[in-house]
Parts: sequence; structure tokens; C-alpha cells
Amino acid sequence: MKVLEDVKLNEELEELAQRGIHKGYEGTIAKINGDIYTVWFFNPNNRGEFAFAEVNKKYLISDKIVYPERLLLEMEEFFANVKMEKYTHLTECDVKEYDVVQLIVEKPQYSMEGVHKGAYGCVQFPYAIDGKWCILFSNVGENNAHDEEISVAREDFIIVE
Amino acid sequence: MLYKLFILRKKSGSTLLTNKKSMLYCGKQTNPSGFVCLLYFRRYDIMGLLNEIAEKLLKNFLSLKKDDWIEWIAQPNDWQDDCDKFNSCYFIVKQMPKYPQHPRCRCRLKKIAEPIPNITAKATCDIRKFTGYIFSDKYDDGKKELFESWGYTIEDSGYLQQLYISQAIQKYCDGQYQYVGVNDHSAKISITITLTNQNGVEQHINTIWKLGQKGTIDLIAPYSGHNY
Repeated sequence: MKVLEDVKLNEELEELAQRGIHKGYEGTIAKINGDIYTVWFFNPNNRGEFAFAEVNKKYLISDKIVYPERLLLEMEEFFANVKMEKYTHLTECDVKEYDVVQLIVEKPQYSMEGVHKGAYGCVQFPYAIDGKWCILFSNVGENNAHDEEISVAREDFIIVE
Repeated sequence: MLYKLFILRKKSGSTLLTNKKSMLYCGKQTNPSGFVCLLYFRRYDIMGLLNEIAEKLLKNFLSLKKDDWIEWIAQPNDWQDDCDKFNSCYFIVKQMPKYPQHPRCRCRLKKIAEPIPNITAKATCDIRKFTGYIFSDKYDDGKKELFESWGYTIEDSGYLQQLYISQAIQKYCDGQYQYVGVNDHSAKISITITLTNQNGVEQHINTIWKLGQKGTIDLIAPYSGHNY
């Protein structure tokens, strides 16, 4: 395995699990120091979120994905400039597809779509993007006769069921 | 910037420059032999070149008719725009996102043949949209009662799934959909699905579909209001 190669964590490690990085999570090798690899892990439940962690190579398997040249150059530049010590944890997502949720805030970005505090909805995708979940709210909008599907930040709703 | 240097012999009483609007004077000096060296610069800035490209893209767009189909080819960039969500999506020109999306947009529109259901276009629908949402007891939004009043129960979920798929793909390929915007994940379109209730009366309902790459559509909202 070499730098910029795509890998997967093939074992549940307690130290990484405490930081939200679990078996099966994918990442990219950022640095190699003997048998210790610094891996850039991605959160599959919250796309856009990442964390760096040092892992022994015996716990990694290569995904054999071939990245385009342009992406490799971008990643090299990213690793050279990013402060890896700032990104050490991934969020544990408690939301699942088809969970019933309730909006607990009144915010303009939701109310302009006709969705107000107290509205009930259904989670549409098994993952968030940048911490926002796609939720289908029922009986909202004009005359409460429509469904509206909007992106809602995790802190703005609670899971009802 | 590209600069062109012109040295002209001055003729008395004559105008040396016929197209002053395109020139930017930077200075004038006279040498001993009587030539007046007019140093002026014709400025071709980078924005001008980019505007030429944009104009060409726009001309291609303007040559399209409203019933033509296109594939949106997004320009890869780091901007926070919606263009990436349209990449490789098929649109009929009369129901497509605004083009260009923004002043620096360099996305291309590639004219394609009309999509063919299940050959170059495909619809998918998770059965849980019915078993886990419409007919679920978790939701107290009246949808279960509405569908049951039309004669459908949770046992009809498989039938409804196939009905939605077959109607949606045909209507999409016929251009009978409405582009309704984007969410954080993708572009969205609205398609009217017709269900027949137990009395034989047709119910026309709005449904929302996610527009994926290369002619794929995936159901998001199985009921988003009535179309009366």
C-alpha cells in the first residue's frame, strides 16, 4: 500500500471506535511511517465529514480504487495544507432512513418552504450531507396539503420514532 | 494581457486611428526623424476570452428547441454551485434548470436522442416508500387513510411500486415532468401519477423524483399533494 491509496478498516479497534471510526470505514492513506499509516477516514453516515487517524497497516485492506490524476493532485495539496490534529473524530449518527422526526425550531430556510416548528417528517436517505438530513415533511405548505422535502440540520430536529 | 505596438507615420491633418473605440491610448512620443510613434495598446484580457467561450456555449444553447433533450455536462470546480448535481442528467429543454447557472458557468449542454424507457432511462422506487411510509402506523398524516379510502392496503405495496415505476418512466421519457429544483443531494422533478380508486375514479397525485445520472429517476415522495 502507498500514499493516496484507498483503504478500508478491516477490524473494530476500541481506540478508533471511541473517535467514531468503525470497522468498514473507508479512507485514503495520507502518510506512511513504517507500519503506522495516517489515514484520512470518511464518515459514510455524514458525507463531507472526515478525520485523520493513525492505524497499523495490518488493520487496513486496500480498496484498489484508481483515482483520476486530477483528484490525486488535489489530495496531495490538501494533505500538505490541512491541520490533521484538528480533525480527529467522526460524528456518531443516530438517524436512520424512515425515522419519524419533528422539527423543533422555526428558521427562515425551513419556513420559506412552508415547514414550521412542530412539523413531522420522514428521513429520506440513510446518510446526511455536511450534517444535514433530507427529510420529507407531511401536510405542510399552502393549506397544509403538500409534502415538502428539505435538508435539515441535525440539531434542528428530534427523532420521534 | 497581450499588447500590440503600432508605429505609424503621421500624415498632416489625417486621423490615424479609424477605430478609436477598440484602442486604449497609453502614450505618444515623437522621434527626430518625424515619425510619431503612437504607442497604443489593444487589450485582450482574460475575461474577454472567457466571455467568448461563454458566448459560444450560449449560442449552442439557443440553437436548441424546447422539445429537444440534452445531457448536462458540468464543469468540475470547487465552487459552491448546484451544477454538480446536474452532471450527466438528462433534461428536456422546456423543463431544465436555468442555463447558464451563474456568470462563470462553463457547463455544456450536449444534445441527445429522446430517452427510451428501460433502455436509456430507468426508474427505481424503494418498496419501503409504501410499506414503511405511506402505510406505516408511525405517521399520523392521513396518507394511510387516504390510500385505503381508494381501496389500496399495505398488501398492494408491490403493485403500487410497479405502477409508479412504469408510469413515471414513461412520463419522464415523454417530457411530461416538471423540474422543481434541487436539494443537497440532487435535482428533483415532479411527475403526476394516476391511480384508480375502487369506484373507478382516477386520482391524479403529485410525486417527487430524484434525477440521477444517465436517465435514472428515483422516487423521493410518493404523495406530495393532489393534481385536480
